Order: sequence, then C-alpha cells, then structure tokens
Amino acid sequence: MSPPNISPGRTGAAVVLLGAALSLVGTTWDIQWHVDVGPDTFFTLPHLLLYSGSAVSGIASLVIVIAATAATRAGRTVGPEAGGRPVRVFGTFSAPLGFLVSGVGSASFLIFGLVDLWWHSIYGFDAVLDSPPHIALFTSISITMVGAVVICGSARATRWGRTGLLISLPILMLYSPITTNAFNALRLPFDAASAGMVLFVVMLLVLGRATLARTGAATAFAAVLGAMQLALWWFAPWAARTYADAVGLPLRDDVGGRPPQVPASIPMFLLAGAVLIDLAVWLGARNHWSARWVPQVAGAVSGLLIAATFMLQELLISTRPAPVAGQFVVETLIGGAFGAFAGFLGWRFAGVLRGEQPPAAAPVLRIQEAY
Amino acid sequence: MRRLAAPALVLAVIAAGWWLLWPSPGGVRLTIGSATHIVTVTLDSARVGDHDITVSVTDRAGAPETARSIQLVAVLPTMGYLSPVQTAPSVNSGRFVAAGVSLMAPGGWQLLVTVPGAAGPDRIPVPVTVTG
Amino acid sequence: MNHFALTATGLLVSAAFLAGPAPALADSGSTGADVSVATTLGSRELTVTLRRVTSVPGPLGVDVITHAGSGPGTLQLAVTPVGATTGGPPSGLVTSTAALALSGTPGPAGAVLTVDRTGPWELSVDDGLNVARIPFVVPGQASTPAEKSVYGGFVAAGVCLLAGIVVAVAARRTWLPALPGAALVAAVAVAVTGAVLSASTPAPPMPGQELDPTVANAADPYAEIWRAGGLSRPPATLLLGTTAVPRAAATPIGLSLCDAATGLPVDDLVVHDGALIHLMIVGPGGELWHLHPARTAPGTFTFTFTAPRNGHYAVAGEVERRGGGVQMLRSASGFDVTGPGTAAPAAAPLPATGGSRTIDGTAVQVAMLPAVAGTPVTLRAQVGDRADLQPWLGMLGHLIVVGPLGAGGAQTAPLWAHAHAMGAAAGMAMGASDAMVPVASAIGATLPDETVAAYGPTVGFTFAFPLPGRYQVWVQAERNYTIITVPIMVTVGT
Repeated sequence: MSPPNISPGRTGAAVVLLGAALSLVGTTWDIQWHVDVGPDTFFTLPHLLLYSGSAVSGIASLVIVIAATAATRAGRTVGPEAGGRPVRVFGTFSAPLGFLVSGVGSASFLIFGLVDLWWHSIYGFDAVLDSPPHIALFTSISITMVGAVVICGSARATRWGRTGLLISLPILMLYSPITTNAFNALRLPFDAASAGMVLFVVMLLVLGRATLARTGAATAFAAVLGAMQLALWWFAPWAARTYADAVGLPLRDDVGGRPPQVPASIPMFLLAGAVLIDLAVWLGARNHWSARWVPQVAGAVSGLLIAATFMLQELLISTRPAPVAGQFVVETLIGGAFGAFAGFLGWRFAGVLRGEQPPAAAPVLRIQEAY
Repeated sequence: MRRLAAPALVLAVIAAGWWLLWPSPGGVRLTIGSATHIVTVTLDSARVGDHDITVSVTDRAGAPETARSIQLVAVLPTMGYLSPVQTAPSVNSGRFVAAGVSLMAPGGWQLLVTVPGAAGPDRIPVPVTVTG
Repeated sequence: MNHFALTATGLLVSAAFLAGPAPALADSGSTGADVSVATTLGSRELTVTLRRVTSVPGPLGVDVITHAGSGPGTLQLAVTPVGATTGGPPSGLVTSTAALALSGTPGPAGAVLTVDRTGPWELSVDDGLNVARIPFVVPGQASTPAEKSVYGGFVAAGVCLLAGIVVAVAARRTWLPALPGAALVAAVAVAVTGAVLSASTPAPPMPGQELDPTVANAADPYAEIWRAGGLSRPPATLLLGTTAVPRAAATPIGLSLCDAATGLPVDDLVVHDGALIHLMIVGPGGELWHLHPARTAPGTFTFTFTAPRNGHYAVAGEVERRGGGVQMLRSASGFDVTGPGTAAPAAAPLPATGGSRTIDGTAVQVAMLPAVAGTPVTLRAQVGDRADLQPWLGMLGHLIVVGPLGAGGAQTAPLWAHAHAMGAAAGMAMGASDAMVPVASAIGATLPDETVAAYGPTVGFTFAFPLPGRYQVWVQAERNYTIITVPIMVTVGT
C-alpha cells in the first residue's frame, strides 16, 4: 500500500475521542444525578454533555468522511491511518470505516432522542435506566465508541493511533455495563448484566492485546481503565452533588453509603484478569501453541477470575446480597464460558481490525501474527 | 429531465413549508356535557368580531332538544364584561343559532348556554379562547 | 475542514456549560402536584388531598384527613370531567367512584379513583347529607418550546448527519455533501439556542391558576402563552343565604359569591392556603370559627353551623380568584342568632402581654411586647411543650386579627386581618425550636402534610396594627388533629 497522501485522521480521531469521552462523563454524571437527586427536566448539564458528545463525534466524523471521499475522488489514496480501512460503500467511493461507524452511531443517538422524548412524555422524567429508548441511546453511544476504537486501531502503526487506542478501548469497556443494563430485563437464573459485562471487557482486552500485538498490552489497557474508574468514582458523586447545590435541588433522603453506580459496576480486579490474558498469550507465543485455542483459554481464565472477583466486589461494596455458594460457583463458571467466547471473538475482531482477510481464508496463520 | 429535478425539489420543499406554516382557519367546535344535556358550540373562527354561533343541544341519550329557543350570553371574566342575552331560535331539530354575538376582545370567553327544562334551566358554560 | 470541526466542538461544549444551572421553570405546573383542599362538610372538618396524576388514563389518589370530633362514616367519592372537548365522549357524567371509610379516629384515610382524560374535573365528596364539589385540573405532559427546539434540532442534526454520510460516499459531486453538512450545523444551532434560552423562557399562565382551565390548555399550557399578563379579574362579593339562625341547632348556611362587575356567580376560585374559601365567623362572646364551606355549585358554598349563644355573628371570607390576588370579603350583614335558653359565658381572652391557659387539653402561653400603632410587633404563642405541632393549611400557625373594637363589635371593626406564622426567629423568648414549616421550592418536592407532627411548640407572628385601640386576636395551630384556637386581647397604644 502506498503511503497516504492526506492524514486528517489524527485531528478527527482526537475530536471523535473527545466526543466519546464527553458521552461517557455525561452518562456517568446523569445516572448519578438520577440516583442522588431524582426527577429533572431535559435541561441539565449532564444531558447537555451527553448530547454534545454525540454531536461533536458526529460532526467530526462527517467532516472526515467528506474529506476522505473528496480526496479519493481527486485521485489520492487514503490509507488506514485516515481512520480505518477505506470500505467501498454503494460500490463506488470508499470512506474510512471508523468514521463511518462513529458517524452512524452519533446520528442514531440524535435520532433516538426523539423516541426518548416521546417515552418521557408518557412515563414522566423520573423513568428507569433500562427503558427501551435509553438502551437505544446507550447502544448508539457504544457504536460511536466502537468507531473511535476502529479509527485508532487502524492507525496502530502511528503513535497517536496507539495512544488513542489506549484511551478509546477503556472508554468502550467502561461503557459496557451501562449498555448491558438491558439484560436486567431477562429473567435468567444468573446475573445476565454482569455476564454481559464480563463478555465485553474480556473481549475488548483480548482485542486490544491482539491489535497492538505487544506483550503486556492487555495490562496497560486495564491500568488505564482503572485510572478512569478511580477518576469517575470521585467525579460522579461530586458532580451530582455540586450541581444539585448549584441549581438548589435537594439530595434524595437515602443518599450516602452507596458507591457511585457506573464506576462500581466495573470490575475493580480487572487488572488481574488482564495480567492473566497477557500471561496466557505470552506463554502461547513462547511455546508456539496454536492460536486456534490460546485466545479462548486466555479469555476463559480471565473470565473466571473477573466473574468471581466481581461478585466479591459487589459483596464488598454491598450493591447486592451475598450469593449462596452454589450461585457463586455457577456465576463464576458462566463467567469462564463467556470469557472463552469473548477470547474467541476478541482475537478474530482484532484480525479484522488489523486489516486481514476474513478468518475463513487462512485463519491461523494470520492470527498467529498477532502474537 | 435531470436539469429540472433540482428546481422541482426546491419548489416542493418551499410548498411543503408554506402549507405547514400557513395559519389554520381557526374554526371552533366544542362539545361539553352537563348531567342532562350535551351541547356542541360551533364558531367559524375564534377571532375578535361578531359571530353567528351555532349551538346543537341533545339530551344525554342523544335525542335533539325540542325547545323553540335557547339563550346565550357571552362573558369575558377578566374584563368583567357580560353581553346582552341573545335568544337563539331553533333552526332545525336541536340546532340553534345565535346571530351576531360580539366577541370584541381577545381572551378567555365563556359562552353561557341556558337550556330551558322542566326541572329548571340548565346553564352550561362553554369556554372559547378568542385570539386577536 | 478540521478547523470547522474544532470550532463546532468549542461551540457545543461552551454552550453546554452556559446552559448549566437551568431549573425547570415550566415543569411545576405541567406535571401536576398534590393539591390539598380543606372542606367543612357537615360536622366534619376534612382536608382532602388530591395526589399528583402521573399518567392519563391513570389513578388519582385521594386522601382525606379528619380532625378531632369527626365521627365514623363513609364518604362517597366521584370524579366528573367538566371540560369542553373537540371530540371523544362528552363530559358531564361521573366516570369513576370510590367509597372511603372514615374511622372515628382522626387521621388520614385514602381511596383511589381513575381519571381518563386531561382537562378540568370535579371531585364530589358526599357524606350522605352534603356534597362538596372540588374542582381540579389534570394536566397533560407538555413539552416546553425549548425542549421541542432542542429535541427537534438534535433529531434534525441526526438525520442530516446520516444524510451527509450517505451523500458523501455516494454522490458524484463534491459540493453535494456540503448541503446536509450545512443543514447539520443549522440544526445543531437551533438545538443549542433552545438549550441556552431554556432557563430564561417564561412559564405560560397556568390553567386553573391563572387561566380558566380547558381541555386544550390543560394538555398544553404553552399554546396560550400569549395570554400572559392582564389576567386579573373584578373583585367578588360575599352574600349570606340567611341572616337569622336558630340557637343550638345545626343549621346549614348557604353563601354565594358573585362577580362585582357582572353579578354572575364566581366560579374561578383558586386553592390558596389549602382551601377554596376561608370563612371566619366571630361570635358575640369573642369566639372564632375558621371554616371552609363546601362548594356545592358554581359560586355557591354551604357550611353547617351550630351557634352557642344568641347575638350577632360577623362573617368574612378569604378567596383568591384566578389571575388575581387574595381578597378579604366581609359580609355586610353577618347573621343574628336567637333562641330560648342561655349558654355559659365564653372564656375571657388572654392578655397578649402574658397569659396562659389550657385549651382542648393543651397548655398555651402567649407573650408580646407592648404594641404601638403602625409599628411591627411580634406575638408569640407556645402551644404545648414539645415540637409536635402539625402544619394546618400548609402553615404552622394562623393569626386572625379583628379591631379596633367599638360599639358595633366585630361587625363594624375597621380591620380584619389574617397573618401566618412565618420564619424561624433565633433566640426566641419561649424556646428555640420555632421551626418554620419547610417551603417546597424544588421540583418534585412536596410539603410535609398534617400527618407530620414535628413543629413548634412556639409559633410567632409579626404584625403592624395600623390603628390604636383594642383588638380581638386569635392564634390557631393544630395538635393531635385538633385545631387549637387561642383568643387573645391586644391593646395597641399610640
């Protein structure tokens, strides 16, 4: 591939990432606001942060897509550094995949806002977190964040690409428990929201490790996530209370003692799970084990550990009652199974992100490169 | 053909906007019930001016009112204004028309419709918001 | 191109922060709130609370608080829509009923009815002998214009964004994607403008409060925002249905309110201080009755009264019409009570400068510095010895002032006034716990009702007596679901 003639990716990626970060902070703040303060109107600072996040990402994405397609038309080539492998859309011109994804996610968020207004006009503003329009909004934000991951992952050869991935992937991981709230509605014999969260975080850790193809990458991602989690743990209640104070609203009577909702639903012991993934992949590479099964094993052990320690965490911060021994074992095993599946998915998604042919063509050889 | 497509599209958008934003004619048709009657008041427009007001009266079962006339006064409570009593004769079964009722200022008017009855008159207030 | 993206980012972020502290100006009326209406029905003094309606069709909770002296019985509740509609089933018939059993013990009891449409309604409360008809409004969930522009703007932005992406990758002309791009910027500008202006957008006049409620304006008060201003109405006149009342017999007394400009019945009263009308009756022995006659028809109210002694009874009512302030309506006639037999003399009022007595089982003390005409002075009453007073009509205490007293007594007294216990005063002479009932200023917050016995025991009132002379004054506070009325004599010097 010839070197790209233009490189709008870096600025675009930075703005999309800024939008994603605004969305994450806005959502965390808004959820905490509803927990600590309660009913509100549309016009709260966290809501505006949420909407600005998507608008910012969306505008940046559109600008880059227009610039890239214009460049293609002018006969210049657009490399993956411009924000993802150019994909052919409608069989004619190509556009950078990452910005396409983030742009569509932002558009979907803004459009689903209307459904949310309709929902609130029927059920009022003191509604639940896992209402259908909310889940659609959270999913849209997640799509934008996936776009940011694709943009940065595609540019992993550059320094900004790797830095961006180190930020965008933990943002997406932090967001996953918000989206998996949807599974609360499933009446399953195990905690479906937690299992979904394990699936997402393990998959993204494996994906990150395989995309960067560097020893210790998963641990680095987990470390960044931990830092973000700590920051939000402090920020969310502080922001909710300070803002309530500023607008003169009282806190709910039962505030206090409970940990902040979003940061508390991220595993605190993720770092240990990430170390296990790095360790398993490192052993696989050293001993030339087949990449057909190493990601699954890495995912499974990590999933077991994360699921078990997450229950411990919930117990520790008393967000749910102590599970009985049988339940503990069942949920841990389910975590392992989801982890194995996550390892499988993460490794193969990384293959796609690295610009390889679909695994069906030559799965193992290609995947082996990710070691 | 292709040359004409873009101007046609622009024209269509302008026409749609025109149609959407054009003020509606503002006719009023309000139905209100009391324990014994159902009254429907119809005005051609709810603008300031003199209006012929059609009042349809039935009993709760839907049978048209058989009185030869009903009475109507217009009240604008914020101004403390009370119109002279207008007698609205029956034009056909259950339909009465009060001609030239003057609603001379914008605001929340009340049309007090009085339907005679064996058990005493039934006085029904119909709120009409009049715009300038 | 990238400069454009960065500028847009800056704009959006700064707009988000500019729009920061934006309390819901419009939400208070559009989502509804609990409404308490004190009603004297027969021999019972009731506080009828209509709970906030959160969805339509949906439940309407009605709680009734009874006071000491209310016997057991059953209240039949029914709701009737009374608005004019452009379609659907006509109003005027009862749509939902419930029976509410009252035990002999004072306190709350509840029932749930169903309301199936927005607009003006009437709740009838029937004790078998009397029917009170309490008007109320079921509001719709209206979006503010700012909300509409913000949601509309963001949705348009989403559509333009999608269109922009599709056009960018599909169109053959380079300038074409700029069209949805420009529209996107315009849409975001609309949304941001709406958000920034949301805090300063005026609230519309509230149906039921400032406007006569209709089905249309209850569903969307913003549709009649152009009517804001100039909503005041002429004063009202209070007419008593009878001026001769027999002694020692429970007598229904009707009163009607008519418009001072048209003479028509006044049917636009707003619930103020927890009632549609506050009626004050001063008896020949210096007794005070503070009643809340039941609305039976437009402009028509009734109450049942048992007069203890012969003589003249002076009457005044306090009402608030829609769009106007509170007005004190003094009956020009009052009523006279005659009948055989005699009653025990009324207890002498307490001297305001210091006195104590046990009233209805509660020890009461009053204290006030010497009063001078035109100068504010604070009267304090300690009712009971613990902080267990209950807010009555949303207030910790009520002060009724009649005077200066001359030969004509209360009927010809130049001044009738009604003040409320307000504010906490630090370092009070008779106890520091002169707590004020909290005021619900926040969205969604509700006031503590009568079931919260946590205030007092000291209630303080500050009043500037305008003329020198002798005034009959009463302090009213609630304890153990009993309204304690403390008669006090105030002498105001020059």
